[in-house]
Amino acid sequence: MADSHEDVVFFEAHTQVTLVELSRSSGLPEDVLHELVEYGALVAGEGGAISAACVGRVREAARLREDLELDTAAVALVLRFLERIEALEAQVRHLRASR
Amino acid sequence: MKYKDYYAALGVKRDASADEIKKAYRKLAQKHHPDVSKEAGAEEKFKEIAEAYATLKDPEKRAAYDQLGTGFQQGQEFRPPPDWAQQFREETSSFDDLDLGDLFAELRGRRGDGRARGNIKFPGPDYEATVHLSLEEANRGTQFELEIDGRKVTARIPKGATDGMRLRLRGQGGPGVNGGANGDLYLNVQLHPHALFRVSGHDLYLDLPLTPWEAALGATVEVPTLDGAVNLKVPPNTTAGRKLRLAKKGLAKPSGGEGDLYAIVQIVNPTVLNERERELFKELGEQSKFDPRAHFAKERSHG
Repeated sequence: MADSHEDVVFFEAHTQVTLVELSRSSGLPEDVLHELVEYGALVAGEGGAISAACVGRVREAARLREDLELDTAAVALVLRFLERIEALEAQVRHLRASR
Repeated sequence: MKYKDYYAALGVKRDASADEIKKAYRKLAQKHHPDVSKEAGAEEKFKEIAEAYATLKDPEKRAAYDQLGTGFQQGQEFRPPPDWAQQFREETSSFDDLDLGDLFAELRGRRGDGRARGNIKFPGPDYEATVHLSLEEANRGTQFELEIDGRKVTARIPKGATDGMRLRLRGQGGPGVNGGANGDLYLNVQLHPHALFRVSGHDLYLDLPLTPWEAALGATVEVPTLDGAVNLKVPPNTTAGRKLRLAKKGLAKPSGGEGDLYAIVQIVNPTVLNERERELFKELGEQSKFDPRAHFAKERSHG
């Protein structure tokens, strides 16, 4: 199977997305994303690029914001917790694999 | 059209205040939201609650819903009163095949917005699904069919996925309206457990059982990998738990390259010894000064 698929994106830590792309894929308005960067819940590098590893979490947080009517501070908290859960899950996988 | 009791869905009385409705919705939504609840059927339950709230939180829609009348049972076939359609809806065509939720979602009351919908391009909705792949499928890429909202979607995943990874397939989501772009398909990858290999990121781990003499003297042993068996050199004096690395024998990475394969040494004794084997072990025991519990004595003297 060929390796290059422009239409397929793996959300890896070292690939980056812009705030505009993140807004499109999560449905969160850009000003809310800016606020989340200000809260420290999203880390923006040079030129505002953000690690693509967060796309899944941001989409999940956006659904919870919409469905549970969360304000931005609560969304920031959700994002931090989701990031912690993902890190712990990765750690559990590593400990189980390398035991 | 089937009747849906939106007040019962939220567990409130028909005369509940807007605030009571909001509170009831939030309480139920937190409990049943599919991102939060791991219960079976959480998604359907949440959809019911969300549909009820979408109508009851909007004063105009709630008024329209209330005018449908009372006395219907949940799921009962019914028709709105004759003048209802003229008051709330532009089209007065048949209600037979309609879903009550869809009817209220498109209902604009007297606000009159959304009328130009016929010509405006709308992008299709994004889909999200979890896919379960075998190690081999993740390693070489795979193609499969998914059914989402009654629609068959062919998803092609190139090599490079691993457990917990997410990816996006552009244009594989719901169809756009009036020439709008299709939505995207977001996939969460989960790997099936493998009989031999355990996964962490793109690295694989394998238990490698050795005999005591292979571990002590060193040996060349055959080890399975995803691309077939390879020979691995076990150095002399190898201890249990040691990780022997086979570079680039792990899973393929999306951007090129591969993870590593680690063989974790286990030292396994024969369960049954014949006479000669027992003699040899006995002789080894008499000759050896090795004490694997030397640190016990050290700890005791400190205590």
